[in-house]
Amino acid sequence: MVHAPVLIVVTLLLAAFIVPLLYRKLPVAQVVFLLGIVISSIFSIRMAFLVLREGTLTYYLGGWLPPYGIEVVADAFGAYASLVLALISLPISYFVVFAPKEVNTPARYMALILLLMAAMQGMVLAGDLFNLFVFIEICSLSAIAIIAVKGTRDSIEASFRYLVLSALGSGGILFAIALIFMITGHLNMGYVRESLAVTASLYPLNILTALAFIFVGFSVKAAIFPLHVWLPEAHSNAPTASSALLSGLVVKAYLVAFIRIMYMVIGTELFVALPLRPILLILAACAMLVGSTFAIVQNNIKRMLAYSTVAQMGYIVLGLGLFSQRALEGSILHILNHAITKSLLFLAAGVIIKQTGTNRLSDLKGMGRKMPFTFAAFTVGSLSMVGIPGFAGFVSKLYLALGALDIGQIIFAALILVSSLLNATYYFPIVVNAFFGQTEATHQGSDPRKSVMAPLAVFALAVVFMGLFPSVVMPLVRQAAGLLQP
Amino acid sequence: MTDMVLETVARIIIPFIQLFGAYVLMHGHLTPGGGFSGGTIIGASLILYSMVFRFSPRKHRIEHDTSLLFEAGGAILYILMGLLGILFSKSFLTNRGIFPLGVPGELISGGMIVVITLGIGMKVAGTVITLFQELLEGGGEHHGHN
Amino acid sequence: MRIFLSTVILLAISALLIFAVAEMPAFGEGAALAHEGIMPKFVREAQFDTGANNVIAAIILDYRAYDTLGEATVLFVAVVAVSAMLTKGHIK
Repeated sequence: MVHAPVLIVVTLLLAAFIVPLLYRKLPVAQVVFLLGIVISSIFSIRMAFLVLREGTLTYYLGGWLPPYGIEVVADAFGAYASLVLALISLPISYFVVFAPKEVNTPARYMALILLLMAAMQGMVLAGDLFNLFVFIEICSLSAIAIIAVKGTRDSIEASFRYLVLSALGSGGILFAIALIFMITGHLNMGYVRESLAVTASLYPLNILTALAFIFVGFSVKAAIFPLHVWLPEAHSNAPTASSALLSGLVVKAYLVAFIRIMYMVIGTELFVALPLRPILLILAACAMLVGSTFAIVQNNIKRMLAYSTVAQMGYIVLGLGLFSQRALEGSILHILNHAITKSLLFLAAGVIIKQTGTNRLSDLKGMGRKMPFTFAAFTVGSLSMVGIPGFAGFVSKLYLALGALDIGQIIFAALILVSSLLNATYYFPIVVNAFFGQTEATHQGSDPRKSVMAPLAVFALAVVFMGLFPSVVMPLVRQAAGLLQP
Repeated sequence: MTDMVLETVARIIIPFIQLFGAYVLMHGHLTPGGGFSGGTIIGASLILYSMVFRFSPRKHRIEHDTSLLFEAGGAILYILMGLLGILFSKSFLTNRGIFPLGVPGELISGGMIVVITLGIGMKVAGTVITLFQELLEGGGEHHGHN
Repeated sequence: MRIFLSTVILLAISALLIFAVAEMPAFGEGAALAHEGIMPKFVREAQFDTGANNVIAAIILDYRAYDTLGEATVLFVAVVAVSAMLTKGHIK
């Protein structure tokens, strides 16, 4: 039996329990923190290779076979999501340890990040509805906590708003799970699906209610368009590393969990039969346009990036709504590409704010010549966001557009183009002004030391690498997309 | 400020609360109750203790490090029990086949369940008292590394 | 306007929920599916499987021990989050 699917989570949890005990010996705590992340990432990478070679891995907790025990299902999609989480968390945790501290309690902050990572890994691998809910709970709480630890008035207000909305979402999901359990008598996703095929006609209204609550609950958590209102404040007022984690990984982990529920519990047939696809398409289109439009008018660099996340989540949802093979591949690939790019941008923005002391875009004119490396990294991220060929964002957008054309939805291919143009209108001025703006910059600043720059360099290289050689992950992405569309 | 009535009553009542908590904890696998409820009862006795005696001249209070140790220790115990399963090449958190299950109904029965109940009890008691003291005193002292 | 809108939406949601409740199987009804799925095994075999007399303890600490580990972690998150927020200090 391969223990990797559960050891990924357990390693992170164990490290999370040990780290806060070592708050007086910070270097030791940092070592434990990095060890936890690295070991769990190794398990995750190993699992991805195994899944690619041998197909879906299942793990029965406590040796109890489903439907009685808890099952962990590492299928291609789950393994891919777990791999994304692991790979993105490595440079970010390096940044947490080596960048200048933004929080009073570094040991507890590291513990919260470990708990968040454990919860996300558990979420994307869960094969049991209640197990999924438990990890959603941990993930929500720790995501809120890593915003609030910054301790400023704004961050506490933002995290409180996030807390209220997120708790509402959790309640909705729990209610839906209770309804499903009442109807089917099972919590294991596979058994629920089998049972639903029989009982769906007996309790249609209950199932519809459950689906509605699941959809709304996950929309709040994954910031799908009309319920994204908490995101800009929460993501922009968090400490730098938290922003990168939240924007790069957390919203996507929820979306992955939602997609897994869709194909493991609801089943693709029911998903296509219900009017869920048009709803997703409309919401995605609104997210792409509204998110980008709001991003254009922002003058705060982190708020702009947060609104951009709303728009980019729209791309991922769009691929889901289009539901053609290539669109799904594009959507799944965009999960990784956006995670790398947005983490890079948020880390760069954090470094810029720290070094210059300002978060206003209008103050950054000419700063590119003072901080060439930081702004070079920011430029790479911007190019990827806009979708310039040769950078990561281009590949997934191309797949999405081709997927839209495959099923004759020219309007959505055009929408991707329009949204990319909107992206260009808010990313490029920053870069152009930074490098070619007037020299009389009012703010001082220089590139930080090399150890702070290293994660940015890693992410920037990854963006270029993914732009040139997307075929590295494509086998896994194809398998994952195949799961969604039988 | 000390209050003799309060202190005397607390001195008498706290051992009984803790005994009851220990009973609920240890019989978690036999009767209604278990780790969460037993831990909360013990935690309540600790809250009473620190409410009554923190004003006394000797400043009795449960140290932050101690409660944190209980808190994390319980959870670590839980995980270690689970890892035993992997060590014996079974699944994580396996009970049957690794731990002796004993005769159902006796105090020592249920294998892993007893140990985990104690771990959860430790953890919940730690949680209750830590949250109480944190909210009362505004957290531990500054220990930023910087 | 805002109050009017929220009232309408809430009424619509409550109507849906009431109809959903009306459709539910009656509580404790023998044929209800929740009782047919996995429950009989737990009631019959939990004592043999786990050695615990308390079936609830058997379920939460053996069959579904992984969930309980998660629930214990939720408490841990709460404590760490509270102490991280309340600890006073200065960022240099």
